[in-house]
Amino acid sequence: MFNLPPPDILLQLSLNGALGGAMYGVAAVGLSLIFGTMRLIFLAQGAMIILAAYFVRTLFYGLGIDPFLSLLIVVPVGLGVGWLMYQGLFRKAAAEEDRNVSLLIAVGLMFLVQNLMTVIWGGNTAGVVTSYTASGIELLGVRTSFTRSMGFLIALAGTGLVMLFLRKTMVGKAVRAASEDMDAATLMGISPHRVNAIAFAIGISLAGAAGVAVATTFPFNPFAGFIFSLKALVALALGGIGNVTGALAGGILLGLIEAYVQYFISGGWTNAIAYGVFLLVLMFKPEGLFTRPYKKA
Amino acid sequence: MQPDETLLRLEAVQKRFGGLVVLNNVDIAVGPNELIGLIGPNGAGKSTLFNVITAIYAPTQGRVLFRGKDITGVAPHRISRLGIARTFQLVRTFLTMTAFENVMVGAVYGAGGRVKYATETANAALELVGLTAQGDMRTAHMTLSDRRMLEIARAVASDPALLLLDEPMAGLNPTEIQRMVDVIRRVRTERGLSILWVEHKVDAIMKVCSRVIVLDHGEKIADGTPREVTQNRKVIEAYLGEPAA
Repeated sequence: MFNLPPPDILLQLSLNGALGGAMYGVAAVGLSLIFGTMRLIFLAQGAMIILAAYFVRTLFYGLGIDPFLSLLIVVPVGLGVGWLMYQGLFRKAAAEEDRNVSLLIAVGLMFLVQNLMTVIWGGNTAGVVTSYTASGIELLGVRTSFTRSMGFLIALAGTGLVMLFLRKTMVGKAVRAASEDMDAATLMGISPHRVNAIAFAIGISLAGAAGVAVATTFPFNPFAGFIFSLKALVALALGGIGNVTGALAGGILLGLIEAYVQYFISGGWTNAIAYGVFLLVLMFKPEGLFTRPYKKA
Repeated sequence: MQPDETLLRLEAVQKRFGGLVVLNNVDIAVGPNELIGLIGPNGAGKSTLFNVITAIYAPTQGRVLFRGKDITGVAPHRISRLGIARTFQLVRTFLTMTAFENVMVGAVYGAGGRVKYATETANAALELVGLTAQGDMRTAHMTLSDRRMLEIARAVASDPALLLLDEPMAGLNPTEIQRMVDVIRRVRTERGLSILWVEHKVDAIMKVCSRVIVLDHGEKIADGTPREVTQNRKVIEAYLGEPAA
């Protein structure tokens, strides 16, 4: 067995893990919404996050707009892009019983976006360096990165807003009804295309918010998004598919697992163990770690 | 009955799945405020008929008319706004929501997106089925019979003219069945709805309905009063098998 490190290092590890994992979480919340109404694993989510990151970078270096301030642009643009993306790309395929067509469109979209980004911004690693990129703040008695903490706040706020929308608004309730039983919801007058488009709009705007967090925290390249899609998928499985807060919690848990593996075992094992946990959860607790299964009548 | 009074009319409806004919040349007319029982052995095509009426399936041939308008092939989400609501054989309430939220979905979306009187409508529908006290209960925690009641409340809240009930008594005990009969009668008398009611419990249908339609192998073999239907030779054969020659 390994020796337990001193508590301040453990705290530091946990904090870094949780802050980083929140970004997987916010990507997973988007996946969860889209999966909820469409039963589609939207594999292009990661590519959309990176696209948003490049957009944020262009706004910063081109127009001098602060990356965090650009949330005010990226989130509404994401809503619009998501809505149009559904109407243009997925609407017809969504009417089919078979989800494979939608899945293939998502994969095609992912490759298209990746390669378009390469053409526009080049394949090299890019980043956003601001006056506060290297600055840190004191949290729980431990020093941590300012941008990571902001990313965490963005993830919390994004998930919180989505929760409020789903619980308090009638449109949100329609999305929940459709996620639970599309046929019954349809016969109650809920248009499948409407709720699918809403799920896409919110999913892509969350990708936009995640893009801000990524751009300010990590260096990125056009192909970095796929890993995000995979990690978001793991977070989704941990949290329980169709459970929004669970998706965020799953992301944070995944971040913690990665941080601990990196410290206690080795950086090389991080991904192998993350995907191993993914498979174990799907095999033994497919409803997720944070959901209690209930019997259907 | 005057033709313009007919609420729902199926004209020579046929539904095939590949080579299998599930509904064949079915004509049905439902008038205002009628309570019609729809019975038939397993596989007679009762559920398919509901799915054709609610536009989940497009009929292979024939037409569905509602209030004199051809509604064959409209988008299923428009059906409830036109005034047709249904319940399901396997209850399909939204389990993660409260009873009140379930009924609100019907009151808002089923009635075409108006929010103004939705709360009143939803409360009235819960009252009608006797679930007022359970309004804030998550549906996942409710009993089967309460969920069946809730499905009826959700359908009624969408302000339909025609209510399709798909085996509302399945899985209920005698006390609950009596409660269900009372609710169905109240829905008809207090709300003035027409009801087309699929049921396996034939005795309940015969007691409550003034008109009974019998389907067998996708064809309508009888349509009349309970007395006429029970004396119909084809119906007896469908349920008991052909008499030994």
